[in-house]
Amino acid sequence: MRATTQLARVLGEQTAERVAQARVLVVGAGGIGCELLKDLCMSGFRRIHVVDLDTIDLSNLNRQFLFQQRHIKRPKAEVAVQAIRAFNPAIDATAEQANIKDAAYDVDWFARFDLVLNALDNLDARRHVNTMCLAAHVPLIESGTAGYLGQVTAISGGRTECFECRPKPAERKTYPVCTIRSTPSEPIHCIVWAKDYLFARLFGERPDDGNDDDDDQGMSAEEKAENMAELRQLREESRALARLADAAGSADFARRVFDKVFSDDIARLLSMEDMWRQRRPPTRLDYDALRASCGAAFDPAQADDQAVLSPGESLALFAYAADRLAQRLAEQRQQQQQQRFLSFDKDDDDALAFVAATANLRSHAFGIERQSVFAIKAMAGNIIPAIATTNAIVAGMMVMQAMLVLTQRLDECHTAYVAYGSGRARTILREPLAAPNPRCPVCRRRYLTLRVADCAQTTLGDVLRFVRGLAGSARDLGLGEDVSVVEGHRLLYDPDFDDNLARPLAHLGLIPGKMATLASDGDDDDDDDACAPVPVVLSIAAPRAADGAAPEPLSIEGFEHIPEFAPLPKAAAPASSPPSDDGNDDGGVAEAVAELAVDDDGAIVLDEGSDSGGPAVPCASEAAPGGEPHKRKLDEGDQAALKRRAVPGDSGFVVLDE
Amino acid sequence: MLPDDTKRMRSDADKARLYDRQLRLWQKDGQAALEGARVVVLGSSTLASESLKNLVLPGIGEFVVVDDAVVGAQDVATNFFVQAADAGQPRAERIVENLCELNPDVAGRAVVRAPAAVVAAEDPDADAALLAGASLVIACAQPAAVVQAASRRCWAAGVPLLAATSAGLLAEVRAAVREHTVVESHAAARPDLRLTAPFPALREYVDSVDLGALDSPALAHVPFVVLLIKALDAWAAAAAAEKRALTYAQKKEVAAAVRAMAPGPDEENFAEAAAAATTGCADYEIPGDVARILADPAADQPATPFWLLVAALRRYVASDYAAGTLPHSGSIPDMKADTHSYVTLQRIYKQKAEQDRAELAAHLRAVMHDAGLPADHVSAAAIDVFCKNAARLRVLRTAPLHADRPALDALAADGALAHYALFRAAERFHAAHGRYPGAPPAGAAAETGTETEAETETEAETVAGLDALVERDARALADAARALMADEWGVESPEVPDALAAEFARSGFLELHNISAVAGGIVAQEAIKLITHQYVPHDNTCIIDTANSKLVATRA
Repeated sequence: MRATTQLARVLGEQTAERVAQARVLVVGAGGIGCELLKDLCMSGFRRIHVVDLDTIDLSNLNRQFLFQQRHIKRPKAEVAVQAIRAFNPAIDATAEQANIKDAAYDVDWFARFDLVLNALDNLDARRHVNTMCLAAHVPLIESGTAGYLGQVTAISGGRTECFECRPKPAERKTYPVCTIRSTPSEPIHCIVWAKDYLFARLFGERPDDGNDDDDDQGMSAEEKAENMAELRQLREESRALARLADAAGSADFARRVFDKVFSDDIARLLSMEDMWRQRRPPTRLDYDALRASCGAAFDPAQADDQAVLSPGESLALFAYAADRLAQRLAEQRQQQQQQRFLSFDKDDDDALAFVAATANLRSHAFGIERQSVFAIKAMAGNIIPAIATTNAIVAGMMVMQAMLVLTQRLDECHTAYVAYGSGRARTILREPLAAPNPRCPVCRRRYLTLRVADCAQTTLGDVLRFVRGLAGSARDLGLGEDVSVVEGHRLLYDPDFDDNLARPLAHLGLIPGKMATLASDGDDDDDDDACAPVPVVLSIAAPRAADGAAPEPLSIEGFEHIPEFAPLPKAAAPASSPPSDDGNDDGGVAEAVAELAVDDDGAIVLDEGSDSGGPAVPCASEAAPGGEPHKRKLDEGDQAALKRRAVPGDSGFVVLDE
Repeated sequence: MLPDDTKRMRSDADKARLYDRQLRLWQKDGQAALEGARVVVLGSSTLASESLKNLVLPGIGEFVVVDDAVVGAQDVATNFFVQAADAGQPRAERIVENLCELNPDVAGRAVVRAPAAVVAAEDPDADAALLAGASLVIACAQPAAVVQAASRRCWAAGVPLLAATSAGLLAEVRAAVREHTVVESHAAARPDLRLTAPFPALREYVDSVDLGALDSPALAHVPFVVLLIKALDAWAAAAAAEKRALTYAQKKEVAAAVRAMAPGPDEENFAEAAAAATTGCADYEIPGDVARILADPAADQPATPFWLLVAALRRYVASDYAAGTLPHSGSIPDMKADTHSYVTLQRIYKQKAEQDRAELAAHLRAVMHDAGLPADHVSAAAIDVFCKNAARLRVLRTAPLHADRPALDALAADGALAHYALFRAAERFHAAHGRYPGAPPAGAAAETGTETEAETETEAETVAGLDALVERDARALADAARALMADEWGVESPEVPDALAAEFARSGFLELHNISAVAGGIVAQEAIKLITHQYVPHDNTCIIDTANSKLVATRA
């Protein structure tokens, strides 16, 4: 008996049929992706498309079971699809090694799918797919895991919360430049310095003009003014470092770098006495003394990554790694390779050793606790733990929700969590899907598709005239005369800025795959205006292939998909509400999810390696008017679907016994 | 088959990289426990192979699959680890071979015998050491008789048992653990700062800080710990009160005293101190879980390193030195402070932790001396980890799976009583009829891989016949579940929804792949927690009901 007939018996013929016909897109073929592809293929799904940018690494193989040692460095999407096709040749599975954010994956491309399943490892791509699914009006199953923690939810534009209805914590923490450069107080400050400053300056790509103003992010103007003298000094240090980098490969390279950053630069810092009035001053390090303190038996090539190395051992490791990196760089330059610099990769042993040794030496100088290479790797590489078990649970639950969504039973979906809790240990928790946040800057939008025959000819002014021309018709956007046009973070037009009106869309970067947001001017600054029309997002797309006739220069569509938007609540709801502590049944959810987003150090870790992410703040639905989670009465169609499911279908199936 | 390069054992460096992402979760110790573990699995259906997949990938030492079933068409449809060409071959052998390809470092073995024979203690052929010598036993899709016999055997041998069943849209995972001790629970712990009764080194440091001699910028960098202890001192002196059993109002007074000390309204450290007044001024209290462990009779005659350490901890807590406190973990939360003060505070607490550990080690030596054990019976590393985690120790004791009566209150409170009763009733149905509800009697339907016209006709008959069978079995199952609840468990008005019973019967206890994948993930998750002795396993039942969008974690 094939999977479909077995499904037909349990789920009903209709669901089995729908599953077999549905075109699904799986974004990501990593930890969750591998599990998901296996589950889909074993659950009767037949038409699967996979997109993943990544190639296979050894550290994937503890969970990404569709890959083996011999596949290392090959594209994940391709190998994964080969594996499931080998299992079931009848399956229509296709793969692309590509970035899902590529403009080629435009709204028409997404609209080809009945359902999208996210198995991603970063917020950026999750946000993008969320927006594309809203624009293409395709439902989305969203997932994430971090160690033993995981979650799954279903998103349907206008009916449920979208991925952005709750603010997400920043993916990367930023530090003031002076903390990193002059006054570190925690191990992470030294690690950031070692990786983003020293490693980058010695081995990385050279900035063209040597200007490092971009380092000042995170500082207010006052802070900048206050720290001008210090910044000037730091700039001088950077230039000296650039000169040193040219010496990479010379016999005394490591020592010269050491003397500069751990002796000369620290001496300079010490001379700024004001800086150390309230702080413990750093200590200058002495190369020879440290070297002498390192035991002769210590072999930097065999250093134990779990041990916390002594300062002397750190110096030996520093010199060893610096020389190896310098040599690699020299070889690259000699061989006239295109890439003449190194970039930090946590899985590059030399790079990691250099950063770890450097960070520990700096910690030593500043009286900060040293760390093992293993621990530094996690911090430098934003590693989050990942195992097969959680991915298996999450992927299996995704397939359950996929079947519900495909059979129009969104009401039965829920947000499910895998957790370990801290009080009574519970493995799984769930809660109803929440209603959309009426202040969501992403899903409280009217997503329409604007088909443009020729982006090189059609101007922004043409588009505005076209849109205004809809006024009075059934497709009146109701935005009024004064609108603003924004693409991404770029303002393209508002009544006070009309420079772009005569420019063709292509010149403004408005090509298929891009979106322009049209809002009544001033809307966005005044969210409390309950009467303001919901902004319109126009997805730029090519005209549909017409039979011979020349396409219209401009056309607009998608009105039938626009949901009804709840009126804005009067008082501004707090953007991020803390986990509610009202002792309700699922109180554990708050705990579990808070743990999901924050690691032991309290640093937000959402990056590479696996599959973390997901909402960081649990559903407390304060943002929803009335606070009532999404609970709609079943309509007739749904009732009928339920009934059909309960009765085995007409067409035959075979029951086999063993 | 794989090329040769994947067959050789991996180097340590490669292993460290291969397992990097999971080492972040359970560290070297956990990995060593996993690599030293032997798991015995009864059954070889999709549930078994999905569970095992999640144990083979992270590098379990060894696994044994016990089953005499052969690969059938249903397996080919739902089990990722058998292929169509395997039909008719011993299923245990097929999944062992395919699972082993996932990780060359893992040893797998198939025992092609009926699980019932292996678990039957009275069977002279039964491999007595198989279950008793295992680190963990997992029963997958096994009839009640096998689960209960395995439960008795495992219970007697002190081996943890997991049992899972997957039936259409429903699944259940249960654990039976006589005693499971956890030092590294990774549970959240409240900050431990000892503010109401500062230990001597902390007291000395606090007294050395003269707030009056500091200018405003310097005051803004004094750690809140120092501010709060000083405010408590001042409050106690002014109110002529003791610094214990403070009421909420009194804590508010301390918070006010903190604010009164602040040079301005914007100092973050003073704000931290005021905010911490309510929790920080509470009396020191040993967390409830740890208090229960200290009172546990198992520490009277300690037989394992864990209980030896708990026995030592008892003496430690009762000593004048500790005066009712646990050893300090040595870590303190981040706080607004200048580097020097923070590092000094860190050192003070760390030294306190070291001193506490030495004290506990002395008590442990006495305990071991009394027990006639050598001094090195518990390693220094184990003492260290124990002291660091003293405030979050856990002991788990579940009911066995051969218990007569489940924990009705917990099941009812979590809305899982009917599900639980239906699973048990279905097991009895199987015991009585030799088939699960909704499953046709053996031989009623022919097993075939091809479809001919003639077969399509018989199929149609089968469908009609099957509908009637499912309906009949659903009614019988619901009645049996109600009878079980009323007659044996003493439930006054047993509620078993007919629709739920129908869902059980409709499944015919066939496995759907994704449901088995979820259940297999939960099984392996719990297995790893049990094997590594890290994190807290669930006590003790998970029920998945996709038909009603239910996921219940409860206790039975």
